[in-house]
Amino acid sequence: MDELLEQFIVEAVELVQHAADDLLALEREPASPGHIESLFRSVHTLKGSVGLFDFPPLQQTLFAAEDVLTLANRAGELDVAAIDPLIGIIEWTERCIAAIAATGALPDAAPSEGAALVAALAPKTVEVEPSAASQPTPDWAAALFAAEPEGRVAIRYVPRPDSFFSGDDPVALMATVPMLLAADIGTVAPWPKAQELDPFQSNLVFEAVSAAPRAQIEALFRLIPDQVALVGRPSATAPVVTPIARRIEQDRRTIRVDVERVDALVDVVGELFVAKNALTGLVAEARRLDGGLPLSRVIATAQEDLDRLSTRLHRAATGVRMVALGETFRRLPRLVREVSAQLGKPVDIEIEGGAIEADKAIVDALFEPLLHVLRNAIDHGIETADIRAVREKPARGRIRVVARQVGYRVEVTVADDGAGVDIERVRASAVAKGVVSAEAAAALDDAGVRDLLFQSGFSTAAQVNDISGRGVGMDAVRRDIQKLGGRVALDSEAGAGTRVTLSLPVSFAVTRIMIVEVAGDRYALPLEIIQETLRVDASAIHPVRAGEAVVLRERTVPVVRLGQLLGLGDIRRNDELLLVTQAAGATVGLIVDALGDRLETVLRPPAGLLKTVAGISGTTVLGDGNVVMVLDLEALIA
Amino acid sequence: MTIDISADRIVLKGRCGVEEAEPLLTALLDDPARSVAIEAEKVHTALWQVLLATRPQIEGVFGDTFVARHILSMLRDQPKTPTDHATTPGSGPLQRLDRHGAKP
Repeated sequence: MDELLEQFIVEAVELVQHAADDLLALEREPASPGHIESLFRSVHTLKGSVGLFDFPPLQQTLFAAEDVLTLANRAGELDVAAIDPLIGIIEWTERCIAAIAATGALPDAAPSEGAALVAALAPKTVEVEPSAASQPTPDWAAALFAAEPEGRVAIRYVPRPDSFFSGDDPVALMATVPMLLAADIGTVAPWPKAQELDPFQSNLVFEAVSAAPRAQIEALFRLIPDQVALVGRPSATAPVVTPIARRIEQDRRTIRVDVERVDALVDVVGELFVAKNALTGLVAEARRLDGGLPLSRVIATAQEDLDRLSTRLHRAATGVRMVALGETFRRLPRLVREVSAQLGKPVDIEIEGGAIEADKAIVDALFEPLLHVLRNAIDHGIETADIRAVREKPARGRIRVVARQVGYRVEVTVADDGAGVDIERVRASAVAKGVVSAEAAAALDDAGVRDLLFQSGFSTAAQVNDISGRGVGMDAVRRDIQKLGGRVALDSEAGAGTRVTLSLPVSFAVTRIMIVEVAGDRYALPLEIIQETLRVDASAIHPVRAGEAVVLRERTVPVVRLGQLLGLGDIRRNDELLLVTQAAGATVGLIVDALGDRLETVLRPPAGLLKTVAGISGTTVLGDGNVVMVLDLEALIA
Repeated sequence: MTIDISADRIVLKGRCGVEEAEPLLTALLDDPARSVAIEAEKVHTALWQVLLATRPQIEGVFGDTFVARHILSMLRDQPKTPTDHATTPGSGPLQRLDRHGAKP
């Protein structure tokens, strides 16, 4: 495909998303100038970009949308009746772009569809307002233009008296106006006596004229449109800013890089860590040589430097891959709107924590599972309006999606205020579908029953519909999340709602690990879970019911033998090597045969067959080239 | 603290934020004869306002061209009469734009 067209598709997808976000925000609050302006910009840029290619129906339709938005932008308010047709246009545009991406051309029906969409918008386009060109130029602007023949934009900026409190620095802002030809500073009111001056209240008026394109000046003052008046030179001498020019302006600060290139970089950094680990062995070997101590010290120093640099390199390289969760979250409101319309259940969605960042692979892969969870929430969780009325709940259902960072993990919870999981119905349904036997089902407690929801092929929808209940439910969610090295939990309160928590790693980060030996095999444990290592006399380990425990500083700590846990058999000794670990919020003593090196490594999520093995959080390559499995103690003990 | 106040001189240093406007004004009220040396890399509008309203003797050169051209020149050119000149029309660049209560 043509490179320019590829670039267009990437941008168009983003612009459509921006436009959709703003439209949804405007649906809740039609008089929101910020959203109208941002919507106008997206549609305007989109139309401009489409103009570079030969897609007349798309361009004409966007042109009509831009017209409506130009008026709305000037009025500071969008006609509510225009929102649905505009959403229609944006959704259709999205489909067109998908078609262009797939086939390089618009769908056959595009001309008629486009015309219908424009017609739906038409009643609003007849109110014609005088165009900007016919408005008289104010005196102050005329004077500035007369003094500066090169001037394109006249600026009059009157900071609000309390603008310092909003963090504005008007002089600093004026100093950034590009191509400033002239400026004057005046006062709103004469200066009072010094004793009466309020130093925190702005009393300034700035008037200036610039030769820069209007769009640049607008961008500068975009946050304070109410405090600034911009007037373009009245004649046609000011060249129109083309979308391309504006795009070049935007592109100056960012570059688009193919994810594969970034990945290649991250991979090499991962290998660097492996190569670096070999030095640990070298230090020990040098020390064993006769008179090798100085050499081993030199190597150790070099290793420290390499450690520091490779950690920085890794942070920089993975940082490139970090994107905000918002990239996935922003697609959710539209989805909820769509599903809630299909099911006739009005639902509001609230999203928090979109600024939290995680690896792009994780953020991207989060969409599918979130989609399932949201569909389930609306379809199975949120009650119909009549039932909600009976239960004295607000007519509109509420779903909150909240992300927060917990250490090196990000936790996304999706909570609805619906009916909660109907334990008896799930139990009955699981038996009916043969997921579990009647006896086994009867023996399950509530948590056990809720866990049945994660079994494959489970669906509780009384009627099968195309929203959810197609057998791709929570089992698919759990599978997807586990693939990313994450976990899913579901809890629910009858009548009050359901909460699904997805817990994921922030990135495939550098993890400090400790090598342990059990029955001749080597495994790795994350160093962060190890609190201390002790030698404990065998007699201090007491059998407690089915297990064992040891008393440490007057606390009873359960003891687990790693060999036994992994099914490798266990060797008893007179003094046992005990690792005191913190897993799943509990302290657990872990008995191993021997301790190995402490290393830093880039942990890769388990791939292939290992993915299906519980209790393994990843693999890593040691300096000697051997692969060891990194154990997920929490999952092993559970 | 980015403003240094001595008996006859006030020095603005580093990055002078909005919160420094009050001490600056107080220092100039205490002794209007104090001169102000500007050695700062950044000075918030609130401080420029205090200087514009009180018109002390200014020393130093401020690197920023907008400030140098439009504010320092005004501070240097104007006579040291803080309040009365502002109501006399046409006596300098400040008055030319003096539109009371104007809004864009």
